[in-house]
Amino acid sequence: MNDISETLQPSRPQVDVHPMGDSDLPVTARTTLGIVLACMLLAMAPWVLDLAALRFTTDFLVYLSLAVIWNLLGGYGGLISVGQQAYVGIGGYVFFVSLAFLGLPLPVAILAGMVVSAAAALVFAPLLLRLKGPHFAIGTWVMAELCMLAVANMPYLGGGSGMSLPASVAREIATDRAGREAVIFFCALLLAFSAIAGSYLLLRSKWGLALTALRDSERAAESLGVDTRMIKLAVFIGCSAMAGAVGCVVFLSKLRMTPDSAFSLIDWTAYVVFIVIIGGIGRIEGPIVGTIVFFALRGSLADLGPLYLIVLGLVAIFVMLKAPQGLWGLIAERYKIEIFPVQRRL
Amino acid sequence: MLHMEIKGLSKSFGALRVADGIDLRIQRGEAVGIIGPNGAGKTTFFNLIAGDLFGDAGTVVFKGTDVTGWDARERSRACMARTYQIPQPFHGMTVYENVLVGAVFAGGRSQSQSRQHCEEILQQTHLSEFANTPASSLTLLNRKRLELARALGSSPELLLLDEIAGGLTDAECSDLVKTILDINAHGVTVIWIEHVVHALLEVVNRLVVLNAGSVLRDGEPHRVMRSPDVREIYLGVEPEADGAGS
Ligand SMILES: Nc1ncnc2c1ncn2[C@@H]1O[C@H](COP(=O)(O)OP(=O)(O)OP(=O)(O)O)[C@@H](O)[C@H]1O
Ligand SMILES: [Mg+2]
Repeated sequence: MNDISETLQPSRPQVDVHPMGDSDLPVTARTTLGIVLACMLLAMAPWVLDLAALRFTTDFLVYLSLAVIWNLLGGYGGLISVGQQAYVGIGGYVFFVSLAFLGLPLPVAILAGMVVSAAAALVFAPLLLRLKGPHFAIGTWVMAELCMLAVANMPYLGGGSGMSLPASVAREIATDRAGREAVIFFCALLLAFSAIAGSYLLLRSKWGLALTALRDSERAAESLGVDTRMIKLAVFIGCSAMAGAVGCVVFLSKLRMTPDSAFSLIDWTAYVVFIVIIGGIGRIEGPIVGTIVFFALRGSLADLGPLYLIVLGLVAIFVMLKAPQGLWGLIAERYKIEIFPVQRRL
Repeated sequence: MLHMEIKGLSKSFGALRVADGIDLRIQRGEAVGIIGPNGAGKTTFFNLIAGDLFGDAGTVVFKGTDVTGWDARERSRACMARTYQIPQPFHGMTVYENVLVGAVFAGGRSQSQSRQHCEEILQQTHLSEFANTPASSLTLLNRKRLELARALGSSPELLLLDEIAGGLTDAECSDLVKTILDINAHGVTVIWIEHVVHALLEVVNRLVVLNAGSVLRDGEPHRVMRSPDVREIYLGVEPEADGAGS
Protein backbone atom coordinates (compact mmCIF):
# COMPACT_ATOMS: atom_id res chain seq x y z
CA MET A 1 0.00 0.00 0.00
CA ASN A 2 2.52 2.54 1.14
CA ASP A 3 4.72 3.32 -1.77
CA ILE A 4 8.07 4.56 -0.61
CA SER A 5 8.34 7.46 -2.99
CA GLU A 6 5.09 8.91 -1.71
CA THR A 7 5.20 8.21 1.97
CA LEU A 8 8.79 8.29 3.05
CA GLN A 9 9.72 11.82 2.20
CA PRO A 10 6.49 13.69 1.68
CA SER A 11 7.69 17.26 1.54
CA ARG A 12 11.37 16.63 1.98
CA PRO A 13 13.60 17.62 -0.87
CA GLN A 14 16.79 15.61 -1.22
CA VAL A 15 19.61 17.19 0.69
CA ASP A 16 21.52 17.92 -2.47
CA VAL A 17 18.85 20.30 -3.67
CA HIS A 18 20.43 23.08 -1.65
CA PRO A 19 23.61 24.28 -3.29
CA MET A 20 26.40 25.26 -0.97
CA GLY A 21 25.89 28.64 0.62
CA ASP A 22 22.27 28.90 -0.42
CA SER A 23 20.27 30.81 2.14
CA ASP A 24 22.96 30.13 4.67
CA LEU A 25 24.30 32.78 6.97
CA PRO A 26 24.93 36.06 5.22
CA VAL A 27 28.59 36.98 5.25
CA THR A 28 29.06 39.94 7.54
CA ALA A 29 29.93 43.17 5.81
CA ARG A 30 32.61 43.98 8.37
CA THR A 31 34.60 40.84 7.69
CA THR A 32 34.27 41.17 3.93
CA LEU A 33 35.48 44.74 4.10
CA GLY A 34 38.37 43.68 6.32
CA ILE A 35 39.49 40.96 3.93
CA VAL A 36 39.28 43.27 0.91
CA LEU A 37 41.25 46.01 2.69
CA ALA A 38 43.91 43.56 3.87
CA CYS A 39 44.29 42.18 0.36
CA MET A 40 44.52 45.65 -1.19
CA LEU A 41 47.14 46.65 1.33
CA LEU A 42 49.11 43.46 0.71
CA ALA A 43 48.77 43.83 -3.04
CA MET A 44 50.91 46.97 -2.87
CA ALA A 45 53.80 44.97 -1.42
CA PRO A 46 55.71 44.44 -4.71
CA TRP A 47 55.88 48.21 -5.20
CA VAL A 48 56.85 49.23 -1.70
CA LEU A 49 58.97 46.36 -0.37
CA ASP A 50 62.51 45.45 -1.37
CA LEU A 51 63.17 41.95 -2.74
CA ALA A 52 64.12 40.38 0.59
CA ALA A 53 61.03 41.77 2.33
CA LEU A 54 58.83 40.67 -0.55
CA ARG A 55 60.23 37.15 -0.35
CA PHE A 56 59.59 37.16 3.37
CA THR A 57 55.97 38.21 2.78
CA THR A 58 55.53 35.50 0.16
CA ASP A 59 56.90 32.95 2.58
CA PHE A 60 54.48 34.23 5.19
CA LEU A 61 51.53 33.82 2.82
CA VAL A 62 52.63 30.31 1.88
CA TYR A 63 52.69 29.22 5.51
CA LEU A 64 49.46 31.03 6.18
CA SER A 65 47.80 29.07 3.37
CA LEU A 66 49.15 25.75 4.60
CA ALA A 67 48.05 26.52 8.15
CA VAL A 68 44.54 27.54 7.12
CA ILE A 69 44.19 24.35 5.10
CA TRP A 70 45.53 22.18 7.90
CA ASN A 71 43.20 23.86 10.36
CA LEU A 72 40.19 23.13 8.17
CA LEU A 73 41.21 19.50 7.88
CA GLY A 74 42.35 18.91 11.46
CA GLY A 75 40.66 21.62 13.48
CA TYR A 76 37.22 21.46 11.92
CA GLY A 77 37.16 18.04 10.28
CA GLY A 78 39.07 16.15 12.95
CA LEU A 79 41.33 14.72 10.24
CA ILE A 80 44.72 15.20 11.89
CA SER A 81 47.09 14.75 8.99
CA VAL A 82 50.85 14.63 9.29
CA GLY A 83 51.23 13.87 5.61
CA GLN A 84 50.41 17.18 3.94
CA GLN A 85 53.92 17.14 2.48
CA ALA A 86 52.73 14.39 0.12
CA TYR A 87 50.49 16.85 -1.72
CA VAL A 88 52.93 19.75 -1.54
CA GLY A 89 55.55 17.46 -3.06
CA ILE A 90 53.31 15.97 -5.72
CA GLY A 91 52.05 19.43 -6.65
CA GLY A 92 55.60 20.71 -6.90
CA TYR A 93 56.86 17.85 -9.05
CA VAL A 94 53.89 17.93 -11.41
CA PHE A 95 54.35 21.66 -11.70
CA PHE A 96 58.03 21.28 -12.63
CA VAL A 97 57.27 18.56 -15.14
CA SER A 98 54.48 20.65 -16.67
CA LEU A 99 56.73 23.69 -17.05
CA ALA A 100 60.06 22.09 -17.91
CA PHE A 101 59.11 18.99 -19.90
CA LEU A 102 55.67 19.75 -21.27
CA GLY A 103 56.14 23.49 -21.78
CA LEU A 104 52.72 24.36 -20.35
CA PRO A 105 51.90 27.94 -19.37
CA LEU A 106 52.21 28.87 -15.69
CA PRO A 107 48.49 28.86 -14.73
CA VAL A 108 47.94 25.52 -16.46
CA ALA A 109 50.98 24.07 -14.71
CA ILE A 110 49.60 25.18 -11.32
CA LEU A 111 46.22 23.72 -12.20
CA ALA A 112 47.91 20.46 -13.19
CA GLY A 113 49.72 20.36 -9.84
CA MET A 114 46.42 20.82 -8.03
CA VAL A 115 44.58 18.23 -10.09
CA VAL A 116 47.24 15.55 -9.67
CA SER A 117 47.49 16.22 -5.91
CA ALA A 118 43.72 15.90 -5.67
CA ALA A 119 43.82 12.70 -7.70
CA ALA A 120 46.49 11.26 -5.41
CA ALA A 121 44.30 12.12 -2.42
CA LEU A 122 41.38 10.41 -4.12
CA VAL A 123 43.48 7.28 -4.55
CA PHE A 124 44.68 7.28 -0.92
CA ALA A 125 41.31 8.26 0.54
CA PRO A 126 39.58 4.86 0.58
CA LEU A 127 42.38 3.54 2.76
CA LEU A 128 43.14 6.64 4.85
CA LEU A 129 39.59 7.77 5.62
CA ARG A 130 38.83 4.36 7.02
CA LEU A 131 41.42 5.04 9.74
CA LYS A 132 40.53 7.04 12.83
CA GLY A 133 42.48 9.45 15.02
CA PRO A 134 46.12 8.48 15.50
CA HIS A 135 45.85 5.73 12.92
CA PHE A 136 44.78 8.26 10.34
CA ALA A 137 47.73 10.48 11.29
CA ILE A 138 50.21 7.64 10.93
CA GLY A 139 48.55 6.54 7.69
CA THR A 140 48.95 9.96 6.13
CA TRP A 141 52.60 10.07 7.14
CA VAL A 142 53.29 6.61 5.70
CA MET A 143 51.61 7.63 2.43
CA ALA A 144 53.80 10.72 2.24
CA GLU A 145 56.94 8.66 2.83
CA LEU A 146 55.85 6.24 0.11
CA CYS A 147 55.35 9.15 -2.29
CA MET A 148 58.83 10.42 -1.50
CA LEU A 149 60.37 7.00 -2.06
CA ALA A 150 58.49 6.56 -5.31
CA VAL A 151 59.64 9.93 -6.64
CA ALA A 152 63.23 9.34 -5.50
CA ASN A 153 63.24 6.17 -7.61
CA MET A 154 61.99 7.80 -10.79
CA PRO A 155 64.94 8.69 -13.04
CA TYR A 156 62.58 10.80 -15.14
CA LEU A 157 62.13 13.10 -12.14
CA GLY A 158 65.87 13.24 -11.41
CA GLY A 159 65.77 10.52 -8.75
CA GLY A 160 67.31 11.46 -5.43
CA SER A 161 69.05 14.53 -6.80
CA GLY A 162 65.81 16.16 -7.93
CA MET A 163 64.96 18.68 -10.62
CA SER A 164 65.66 22.30 -11.47
CA LEU A 165 63.63 24.71 -13.51
CA PRO A 166 65.70 25.69 -16.56
CA ALA A 167 66.66 29.36 -16.65
CA SER A 168 64.74 29.73 -19.91
CA VAL A 169 61.53 28.67 -18.22
CA ALA A 170 62.13 31.06 -15.34
CA ARG A 171 62.70 33.87 -17.83
CA GLU A 172 59.41 33.13 -19.53
CA ILE A 173 57.54 33.88 -16.32
CA ALA A 174 59.09 37.32 -16.01
CA THR A 175 62.09 38.97 -17.57
CA ASP A 176 63.85 39.96 -14.37
CA ARG A 177 64.06 38.65 -10.84
CA ALA A 178 61.87 41.40 -9.38
CA GLY A 179 59.17 40.58 -11.89
CA ARG A 180 59.32 36.90 -11.03
CA GLU A 181 59.17 37.58 -7.32
CA ALA A 182 56.11 39.74 -7.89
CA VAL A 183 54.37 36.96 -9.84
CA ILE A 184 55.16 34.48 -7.08
CA PHE A 185 53.96 36.93 -4.48
CA PHE A 186 50.62 37.38 -6.20
CA CYS A 187 50.19 33.63 -6.54
CA ALA A 188 50.81 33.25 -2.81
CA LEU A 189 48.41 36.09 -2.03
CA LEU A 190 45.72 34.47 -4.15
CA LEU A 191 46.31 31.15 -2.37
CA ALA A 192 46.09 32.63 1.10
CA PHE A 193 43.00 34.60 0.13
CA SER A 194 41.28 31.54 -1.36
CA ALA A 195 42.18 29.40 1.63
CA ILE A 196 40.80 31.88 4.16
CA ALA A 197 37.73 32.95 2.19
CA GLY A 198 37.06 29.37 1.16
CA SER A 199 37.23 28.03 4.72
CA TYR A 200 35.11 30.88 5.98
CA LEU A 201 32.36 30.38 3.43
CA LEU A 202 32.48 26.61 3.79
CA LEU A 203 32.23 26.76 7.57
CA ARG A 204 29.24 29.07 7.44
CA SER A 205 27.45 26.85 4.95
CA LYS A 206 25.56 23.76 5.96
CA TRP A 207 28.55 21.68 4.92
CA GLY A 208 30.59 23.39 7.62
CA LEU A 209 27.91 22.43 10.12
CA ALA A 210 28.17 18.81 8.96
CA LEU A 211 31.98 18.84 9.03
CA THR A 212 32.15 20.11 12.60
CA ALA A 213 29.44 17.65 13.64
CA LEU A 214 31.25 14.63 12.23
CA ARG A 215 34.45 15.75 13.94
CA ASP A 216 32.66 15.55 17.30
CA SER A 217 30.69 12.35 16.70
CA GLU A 218 30.71 10.63 13.38
CA ARG A 219 28.07 8.20 14.51
CA ALA A 220 25.61 10.83 15.72
CA ALA A 221 26.19 12.92 12.59
CA GLU A 222 25.43 9.94 10.40
CA SER A 223 22.23 9.19 12.31
CA LEU A 224 21.15 12.81 11.82
CA GLY A 225 21.37 12.51 8.06
CA VAL A 226 24.94 13.65 7.40
CA ASP A 227 26.80 11.82 4.66
CA THR A 228 30.02 11.70 6.65
CA ARG A 229 32.01 9.74 4.09
CA MET A 230 31.23 12.09 1.26
CA ILE A 231 32.01 15.20 3.31
CA LYS A 232 35.30 13.86 4.64
CA LEU A 233 36.31 12.83 1.15
CA ALA A 234 35.44 16.21 -0.34
CA VAL A 235 37.33 18.14 2.34
CA PHE A 236 40.33 15.82 2.17
CA ILE A 237 40.55 16.17 -1.60
CA GLY A 238 39.96 19.92 -1.56
CA CYS A 239 42.68 20.43 1.05
CA SER A 240 45.08 18.22 -0.91
CA ALA A 241 44.49 20.24 -4.07
CA MET A 242 45.24 23.42 -2.13
CA ALA A 243 48.41 21.87 -0.69
CA GLY A 244 49.37 20.95 -4.26
CA ALA A 245 48.94 24.58 -5.28
CA VAL A 246 51.16 25.63 -2.39
CA GLY A 247 53.78 23.19 -3.68
CA CYS A 248 53.70 24.89 -7.09
CA VAL A 249 54.21 28.34 -5.61
CA VAL A 250 56.93 27.25 -3.19
CA PHE A 251 59.05 25.57 -5.85
CA LEU A 252 58.47 28.30 -8.39
CA SER A 253 60.28 30.51 -5.94
CA LYS A 254 62.97 27.96 -5.07
CA LEU A 255 63.53 26.91 -8.72
CA ARG A 256 64.83 23.54 -7.67
CA MET A 257 63.52 20.61 -5.71
CA THR A 258 64.66 17.26 -4.37
CA PRO A 259 62.49 14.50 -2.92
CA ASP A 260 63.73 15.55 0.52
CA SER A 261 62.74 19.18 0.13
CA ALA A 262 59.50 18.49 -1.70
CA PHE A 263 58.25 15.88 0.76
CA SER A 264 59.69 17.47 3.89
CA LEU A 265 57.74 16.54 7.01
CA ILE A 266 59.31 19.40 8.98
CA ASP A 267 58.73 22.13 6.41
CA TRP A 268 55.25 21.29 5.19
CA THR A 269 53.61 19.71 8.18
CA ALA A 270 55.51 20.10 11.47
CA TYR A 271 55.87 23.90 11.27
CA VAL A 272 52.29 24.12 10.07
CA VAL A 273 50.95 22.11 13.00
CA PHE A 274 53.01 24.32 15.32
CA ILE A 275 51.44 27.41 13.77
CA VAL A 276 47.89 26.14 14.12
CA ILE A 277 48.37 24.96 17.69
CA ILE A 278 49.92 28.14 19.03
CA GLY A 279 47.48 30.30 17.11
CA GLY A 280 44.39 28.33 18.05
CA ILE A 281 43.06 25.17 16.46
CA GLY A 282 39.49 25.15 15.23
CA ARG A 283 39.26 28.92 14.69
CA ILE A 284 39.94 30.66 11.41
CA GLU A 285 41.84 33.46 13.17
CA GLY A 286 44.15 30.87 14.80
CA PRO A 287 46.39 30.15 11.80
CA ILE A 288 46.73 33.87 11.09
CA VAL A 289 47.93 34.67 14.61
CA GLY A 290 50.04 31.50 14.62
CA THR A 291 51.80 32.40 11.38
CA ILE A 292 52.64 35.86 12.71
CA VAL A 293 54.10 34.37 15.91
CA PHE A 294 55.99 31.71 13.96
CA PHE A 295 57.64 34.25 11.68
CA ALA A 296 58.44 36.52 14.61
CA LEU A 297 60.14 33.59 16.40
CA ARG A 298 61.91 32.47 13.26
CA GLY A 299 63.23 35.96 12.66
CA SER A 300 64.51 36.44 16.16
CA LEU A 301 65.87 32.93 16.72
CA ALA A 302 67.46 32.36 13.33
CA ASP A 303 70.98 32.50 14.81
CA LEU A 304 70.34 29.70 17.28
CA GLY A 305 70.73 26.94 14.71
CA PRO A 306 69.35 23.56 15.82
CA LEU A 307 68.40 25.08 19.18
CA TYR A 308 65.71 26.95 17.28
CA LEU A 309 63.64 23.79 16.86
CA ILE A 310 63.91 23.05 20.56
CA VAL A 311 62.68 26.55 21.39
CA LEU A 312 59.74 26.10 19.02
CA GLY A 313 58.89 22.83 20.72
CA LEU A 314 59.03 24.42 24.17
CA VAL A 315 56.80 27.28 23.03
CA ALA A 316 54.29 24.80 21.63
CA ILE A 317 54.25 22.78 24.85
CA PHE A 318 53.88 25.92 26.95
CA VAL A 319 50.97 27.19 24.85
CA MET A 320 49.28 23.78 24.84
CA LEU A 321 49.45 23.66 28.65
CA LYS A 322 48.57 27.27 29.39
CA ALA A 323 46.24 28.07 26.52
CA PRO A 324 44.82 24.98 24.86
CA GLN A 325 42.65 27.25 22.75
CA GLY A 326 45.78 28.91 21.41
CA LEU A 327 46.74 32.57 21.54
CA TRP A 328 43.71 33.62 19.56
CA GLY A 329 41.55 31.72 22.02
CA LEU A 330 42.97 33.87 24.82
CA ILE A 331 42.52 37.08 22.88
CA ALA A 332 38.99 36.23 21.78
CA GLU A 333 37.97 35.38 25.31
CA ARG A 334 39.52 38.42 26.93
CA TYR A 335 38.31 41.00 24.42
CA LYS A 336 35.20 39.19 23.19
CA ILE A 337 36.14 39.63 19.56
CA GLU A 338 35.65 37.46 16.55
CA ILE A 339 36.85 38.36 13.09
CA PHE A 340 35.44 35.36 11.28
CA PRO A 341 32.21 34.45 13.04
CA VAL A 342 31.19 30.96 11.97
CA GLN A 343 29.02 30.09 14.94
CA ARG A 344 25.28 30.09 14.33
CA ARG A 345 23.35 31.95 17.03
CA LEU A 346 19.76 32.16 18.05
CA MET B 1 -1.90 1.78 10.89
CA LEU B 2 1.24 -0.32 10.94
CA HIS B 3 4.31 1.91 11.25
CA MET B 4 7.13 -0.57 11.56
CA GLU B 5 7.34 -4.32 11.35
CA ILE B 6 10.34 -6.25 12.59
CA LYS B 7 10.66 -9.91 11.69
CA GLY B 8 13.19 -12.42 12.96
CA LEU B 9 15.80 -9.77 13.72
CA SER B 10 19.00 -11.44 14.90
CA LYS B 11 22.50 -10.32 15.74
CA SER B 12 25.47 -12.06 17.34
CA PHE B 13 28.73 -10.68 18.63
CA GLY B 14 30.94 -13.72 18.26
CA ALA B 15 29.29 -16.45 20.29
CA LEU B 16 27.05 -13.98 22.13
CA ARG B 17 23.55 -13.87 20.63
CA VAL B 18 22.35 -10.35 21.45
CA ALA B 19 19.24 -10.33 19.28
CA ASP B 20 17.60 -13.68 18.80
CA GLY B 21 14.81 -13.62 16.26
CA ILE B 22 12.94 -10.56 17.52
CA ASP B 23 9.45 -10.00 16.04
CA LEU B 24 7.64 -6.75 16.73
CA ARG B 25 4.85 -4.78 15.08
CA ILE B 26 4.59 -1.13 15.97
CA GLN B 27 1.50 0.91 15.14
CA ARG B 28 1.73 4.54 14.12
CA GLY B 29 1.39 6.86 17.11
CA GLU B 30 2.04 4.13 19.67
CA ALA B 31 4.18 4.70 22.75
CA VAL B 32 6.03 1.48 23.47
CA GLY B 33 8.29 0.91 26.45
CA ILE B 34 11.14 -1.57 26.44
CA ILE B 35 12.61 -2.96 29.63
CA GLY B 36 14.99 -5.77 30.37
CA PRO B 37 18.01 -6.59 32.52
CA ASN B 38 21.44 -5.12 31.79
CA GLY B 39 22.94 -6.68 28.72
CA ALA B 40 19.57 -7.97 27.50
CA GLY B 41 20.28 -6.44 24.09
CA LYS B 42 18.03 -3.37 24.28
CA THR B 43 20.53 -0.88 22.92
CA THR B 44 21.62 -3.37 20.28
CA PHE B 45 17.99 -3.69 19.25
CA PHE B 46 17.84 0.09 18.76
CA ASN B 47 21.09 0.01 16.82
CA LEU B 48 19.52 -2.55 14.51
CA ILE B 49 16.33 -0.52 14.05
CA ALA B 50 18.18 2.76 13.47
CA GLY B 51 20.71 1.26 11.08
CA ASP B 52 23.75 1.84 13.32
CA LEU B 53 24.29 -1.91 13.12
CA PHE B 54 23.28 -4.44 10.53
CA GLY B 55 21.64 -7.66 11.67
CA ASP B 56 22.71 -11.18 10.71
CA ALA B 57 19.14 -12.14 9.81
CA GLY B 58 15.66 -10.67 9.78
CA THR B 59 13.98 -7.68 8.22
CA VAL B 60 12.90 -4.19 9.23
CA VAL B 61 9.95 -2.80 7.31
CA PHE B 62 9.29 0.89 7.94
CA LYS B 63 6.19 2.55 6.53
CA GLY B 64 5.68 -0.34 4.19
CA THR B 65 9.22 -0.24 2.82
CA ASP B 66 11.89 -2.79 3.52
CA VAL B 67 14.70 -0.70 5.01
CA THR B 68 16.82 -3.64 6.18
CA GLY B 69 19.75 -2.72 3.95
CA TRP B 70 19.55 1.03 4.64
CA ASP B 71 22.23 2.71 6.72
CA ALA B 72 21.60 5.10 9.61
CA ARG B 73 21.70 8.15 7.36
CA GLU B 74 19.10 6.80 4.97
CA ARG B 75 16.84 5.77 7.80
CA SER B 76 17.14 9.20 9.40
CA ARG B 77 15.96 10.77 6.17
CA ALA B 78 13.01 8.41 6.23
CA CYS B 79 12.03 10.12 9.52
CA MET B 80 13.56 7.85 12.16
CA ALA B 81 15.52 9.46 14.98
CA ARG B 82 17.26 8.14 18.05
CA THR B 83 19.01 9.25 21.20
CA TYR B 84 22.11 7.59 22.62
CA GLN B 85 22.27 5.98 26.02
CA ILE B 86 25.68 7.57 26.44
CA PRO B 87 25.04 11.11 25.18
CA GLN B 88 27.03 11.89 22.05
CA PRO B 89 26.74 15.67 21.80
CA PHE B 90 28.67 17.61 19.18
CA HIS B 91 30.66 19.14 22.01
CA GLY B 92 32.42 21.79 19.98
CA MET B 93 29.16 23.23 18.69
CA THR B 94 26.49 25.28 20.41
CA VAL B 95 23.26 23.70 21.57
CA TYR B 96 21.41 25.42 18.75
CA GLU B 97 23.88 24.11 16.17
CA ASN B 98 23.51 20.61 17.57
CA VAL B 99 19.78 20.71 16.90
CA LEU B 100 20.33 22.34 13.53
CA VAL B 101 22.27 19.35 12.16
CA GLY B 102 19.26 17.03 12.09
CA ALA B 103 16.94 19.79 10.94
CA VAL B 104 19.15 20.54 7.95
CA PHE B 105 20.43 17.10 6.97
CA ALA B 106 17.72 14.65 7.96
CA GLY B 107 14.93 17.20 7.62
CA GLY B 108 16.14 18.69 4.34
CA ARG B 109 15.64 22.32 5.36
CA SER B 110 18.05 25.18 4.78
CA GLN B 111 19.75 26.74 7.79
CA SER B 112 17.51 29.78 7.76
CA GLN B 113 14.34 27.74 7.34
CA SER B 114 15.36 25.70 10.38
CA ARG B 115 15.73 28.62 12.74
CA GLN B 116 12.20 28.81 14.04
CA HIS B 117 11.83 25.05 14.10
CA CYS B 118 14.92 24.72 16.29
CA GLU B 119 13.78 27.55 18.52
CA GLU B 120 10.53 25.71 19.20
CA ILE B 121 12.33 22.47 19.99
CA LEU B 122 14.70 24.20 22.37
CA GLN B 123 11.71 25.69 24.13
CA GLN B 124 9.96 22.34 24.30
CA THR B 125 13.05 20.70 25.79
CA HIS B 126 13.80 23.60 28.17
CA LEU B 127 17.11 24.42 26.51
CA SER B 128 16.30 27.90 25.20
CA GLU B 129 18.54 29.69 27.67
CA PHE B 130 21.49 27.53 26.57
CA ALA B 131 20.94 27.93 22.85
CA ASN B 132 24.25 29.70 22.31
CA THR B 133 26.39 27.85 24.83
CA PRO B 134 28.78 25.13 23.71
CA ALA B 135 27.37 21.64 24.25
CA SER B 136 30.56 20.68 26.13
CA SER B 137 29.57 22.91 29.06
CA LEU B 138 26.14 21.34 29.65
CA THR B 139 25.19 19.45 32.80
CA LEU B 140 24.10 15.80 32.62
CA LEU B 141 20.41 16.75 32.65
CA ASN B 142 20.88 19.19 29.82
CA ARG B 143 22.95 16.71 27.87
CA LYS B 144 20.04 14.29 28.05
CA ARG B 145 17.70 17.06 26.98
CA LEU B 146 20.03 17.84 24.11
CA GLU B 147 19.94 14.21 22.96
CA LEU B 148 16.18 14.53 22.78
CA ALA B 149 16.24 17.98 21.19
CA ARG B 150 18.70 16.89 18.53
CA ALA B 151 16.57 13.90 17.62
CA LEU B 152 13.50 16.12 17.43
CA GLY B 153 15.39 18.51 15.17
CA SER B 154 15.00 16.06 12.31
CA SER B 155 11.17 16.03 12.70
CA PRO B 156 10.95 12.28 13.25
CA GLU B 157 7.88 10.15 12.82
CA LEU B 158 9.52 7.39 14.85
CA LEU B 159 11.52 8.38 17.90
CA LEU B 160 13.81 5.90 19.67
CA LEU B 161 14.75 6.93 23.21
CA ASP B 162 17.52 5.03 24.97
CA GLU B 163 17.47 5.57 28.75
CA ILE B 164 17.08 9.30 28.75
CA ALA B 165 15.67 9.39 32.30
CA GLY B 166 18.62 7.63 33.96
CA GLY B 167 20.28 9.74 36.65
CA LEU B 168 17.62 12.43 36.78
CA THR B 169 15.86 13.64 39.94
CA ASP B 170 12.13 12.98 40.35
CA ALA B 171 11.21 16.52 39.38
CA GLU B 172 13.40 16.41 36.30
CA CYS B 173 11.97 13.06 35.45
CA SER B 174 8.34 14.16 35.56
CA ASP B 175 9.30 17.12 33.43
CA LEU B 176 10.77 14.77 30.87
CA VAL B 177 7.67 12.60 31.01
CA LYS B 178 5.54 15.62 30.16
CA THR B 179 7.72 16.46 27.19
CA ILE B 180 7.59 12.93 25.82
CA LEU B 181 3.82 12.71 26.31
CA ASP B 182 3.54 15.95 24.38
CA ILE B 183 5.69 14.63 21.53
CA ASN B 184 3.65 11.43 21.36
CA ALA B 185 0.41 13.42 21.42
CA HIS B 186 1.58 15.10 18.23
CA GLY B 187 1.52 11.77 16.45
CA VAL B 188 5.13 10.73 16.81
CA THR B 189 5.60 7.01 17.44
CA VAL B 190 7.80 6.60 20.50
CA ILE B 191 9.82 3.55 21.55
CA TRP B 192 11.46 4.12 24.88
CA ILE B 193 14.05 1.94 26.63
CA GLU B 194 14.10 2.83 30.31
CA HIS B 195 15.19 1.43 33.65
CA VAL B 196 13.18 4.10 35.49
CA VAL B 197 10.00 2.07 35.17
CA HIS B 198 7.63 4.47 36.93
CA ALA B 199 8.47 7.21 34.44
CA LEU B 200 8.02 4.78 31.59
CA LEU B 201 4.61 3.62 32.82
CA GLU B 202 3.33 7.21 32.77
CA VAL B 203 3.95 7.39 29.05
CA VAL B 204 3.62 4.03 27.35
CA ASN B 205 0.50 2.09 26.46
CA ARG B 206 2.43 -1.06 25.68
CA LEU B 207 5.42 -2.65 27.32
CA VAL B 208 7.92 -5.06 25.79
CA VAL B 209 10.31 -7.05 27.96
CA LEU B 210 13.54 -8.12 26.32
CA ASN B 211 15.61 -10.84 27.86
CA ALA B 212 18.72 -12.46 26.41
CA GLY B 213 17.98 -11.06 22.99
CA SER B 214 14.38 -12.12 22.65
CA VAL B 215 10.94 -10.81 23.51
CA LEU B 216 9.81 -12.28 26.82
CA ARG B 217 6.54 -10.39 27.20
CA ASP B 218 4.66 -7.84 25.13
CA GLY B 219 1.38 -6.24 26.15
CA GLU B 220 -0.49 -3.89 28.46
CA PRO B 221 2.16 -2.38 30.75
CA HIS B 222 0.66 -3.17 34.15
CA ARG B 223 -0.21 -6.71 33.19
CA VAL B 224 3.27 -7.25 31.85
CA MET B 225 4.81 -5.89 35.04
CA ARG B 226 2.67 -8.26 37.12
CA SER B 227 3.58 -11.41 35.22
CA PRO B 228 5.76 -13.73 37.34
CA ASP B 229 8.49 -14.39 34.78
CA VAL B 230 9.04 -10.65 34.34
CA ARG B 231 9.24 -10.20 38.09
CA GLU B 232 11.68 -13.05 38.25
CA ILE B 233 13.97 -12.07 35.41
CA TYR B 234 13.71 -8.33 35.44
CA LEU B 235 13.24 -7.59 39.11
CA GLY B 236 14.69 -10.80 40.49
CA VAL B 237 11.93 -11.22 43.11
CA GLU B 238 9.84 -14.18 44.31
CA PRO B 239 11.52 -17.34 42.99
CA GLU B 240 14.90 -16.17 44.23
CA ALA B 241 13.41 -15.40 47.65
CA ASP B 242 11.93 -18.90 47.64
CA GLY B 243 15.25 -20.41 46.75
CA ALA B 244 16.97 -18.55 49.58
CA GLY B 245 14.30 -19.72 52.01
CA SER B 246 14.59 -23.45 51.31
N1 LIG C 1 29.77 -3.82 19.60
C1 LIG C 1 29.70 -4.87 20.46
N2 LIG C 1 30.60 -5.85 20.40
C2 LIG C 1 30.55 -6.90 21.24
N3 LIG C 1 29.63 -7.05 22.19
C3 LIG C 1 28.69 -6.09 22.31
C4 LIG C 1 28.69 -4.94 21.45
N4 LIG C 1 27.65 -4.16 21.80
C5 LIG C 1 27.04 -4.79 22.83
N5 LIG C 1 27.65 -5.94 23.14
C6 LIG C 1 27.25 -6.89 24.15
O1 LIG C 1 25.93 -7.27 23.87
C7 LIG C 1 25.18 -7.40 25.05
C8 LIG C 1 23.93 -6.54 24.96
O2 LIG C 1 24.34 -5.18 24.98
P1 LIG C 1 23.30 -4.00 24.95
O3 LIG C 1 24.08 -2.73 25.05
O4 LIG C 1 22.42 -4.13 23.79
O5 LIG C 1 22.49 -4.26 26.29
P2 LIG C 1 21.39 -3.35 26.98
O6 LIG C 1 20.19 -4.18 27.13
O7 LIG C 1 21.25 -2.06 26.29
O8 LIG C 1 22.05 -3.14 28.41
P3 LIG C 1 21.99 -1.86 29.37
O9 LIG C 1 20.72 -1.98 30.14
O10 LIG C 1 23.19 -2.05 30.25
O11 LIG C 1 22.07 -0.66 28.54
C9 LIG C 1 26.08 -7.02 26.19
O12 LIG C 1 26.57 -8.19 26.77
C10 LIG C 1 27.20 -6.27 25.54
O13 LIG C 1 28.40 -6.47 26.23
MG1 LIG D 1 21.56 -0.12 26.69
